[in-house]
Amino acid sequence: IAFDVEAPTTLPPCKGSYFGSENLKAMVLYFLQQYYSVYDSGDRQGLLDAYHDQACCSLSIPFTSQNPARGSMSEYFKDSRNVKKLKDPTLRFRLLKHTRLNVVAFLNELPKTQHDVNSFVVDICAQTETLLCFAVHGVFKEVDGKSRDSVRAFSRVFIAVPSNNAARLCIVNDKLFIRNATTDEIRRAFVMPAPTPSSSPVPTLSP
Amino acid sequence: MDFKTHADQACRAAEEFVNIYYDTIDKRRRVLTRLYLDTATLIWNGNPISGLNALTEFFETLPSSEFQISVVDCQPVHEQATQSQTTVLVVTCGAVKFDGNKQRYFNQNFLLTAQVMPNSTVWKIASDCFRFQDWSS
Repeated sequence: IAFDVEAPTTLPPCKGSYFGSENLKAMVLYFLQQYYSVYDSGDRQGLLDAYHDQACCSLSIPFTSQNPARGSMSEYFKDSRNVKKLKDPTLRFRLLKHTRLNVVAFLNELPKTQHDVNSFVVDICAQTETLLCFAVHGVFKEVDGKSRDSVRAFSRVFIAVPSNNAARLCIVNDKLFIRNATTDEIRRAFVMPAPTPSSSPVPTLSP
Repeated sequence: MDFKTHADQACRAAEEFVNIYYDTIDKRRRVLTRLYLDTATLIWNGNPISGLNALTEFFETLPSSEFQISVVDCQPVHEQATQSQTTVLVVTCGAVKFDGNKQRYFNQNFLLTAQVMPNSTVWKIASDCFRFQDWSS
């Protein structure tokens, strides 16, 4: 007599980007292509057009760097908002950038970057008539300052509303997480063409 | 309400939520879906799961877990995006050990909405998006 009551130990297979529909895929990839071309241009003032007047933005880095030997994250430390560790309400509030001008001024102060768009993986997290929430994961390198050429990994959540011009997205919330890239991520970064790591095609931002 | 009040409220909801969510997924998995809206969606490493029945089934097949959360951040979601339904974006980062698997780092984000009842306000998950940092390996 046998009973099958063993607890599961197999995880569902991981897949690449989840877009939900071809329309959303086209819209979000177009947005990201435009956004990161300005973000990496050396002057992020041009991002003003991408944000809502009352947008907010915050940044966080891991509490303990996973590999402190490789590239310090010190440039981001003072701006890192981790409410698990920071209990002071005044400091928490100061680290949440609010209004379009403050958000873009804040982004403009961050190290200059070059993103590897071929590394991007996008998940559409939620969608309604008035909201589009999506997460972008990928790698970039810093192109100036003392950490020049350091490869970082990022995970970013955008919430956007349709803008007056319905074809465009207007960001109301922007949450950026940055960490050191792993050895594996560094090895694969900026390799053209990007390898296809899963059964799902990796999104490409080229037209 | 001004932005400061919204931001403070978001922090209180996020802190409480993170404690309850990860404690429930680790120790009381069978009641986890009570934290989700009937119409909630989960995107788990690129796999879409929506609705309570599908979520219940998914969490039953997921091995038991031990989560350790190291980073939590949150923002009040702009009312124009939510049709004035109070909503908070909660973003977490940490490590998880699923039974029979090695420990892995992950990023996760949630949209929580405040469901106003006659005598209380209950926060529910409207969306949940989870991804391992090394999902492709």
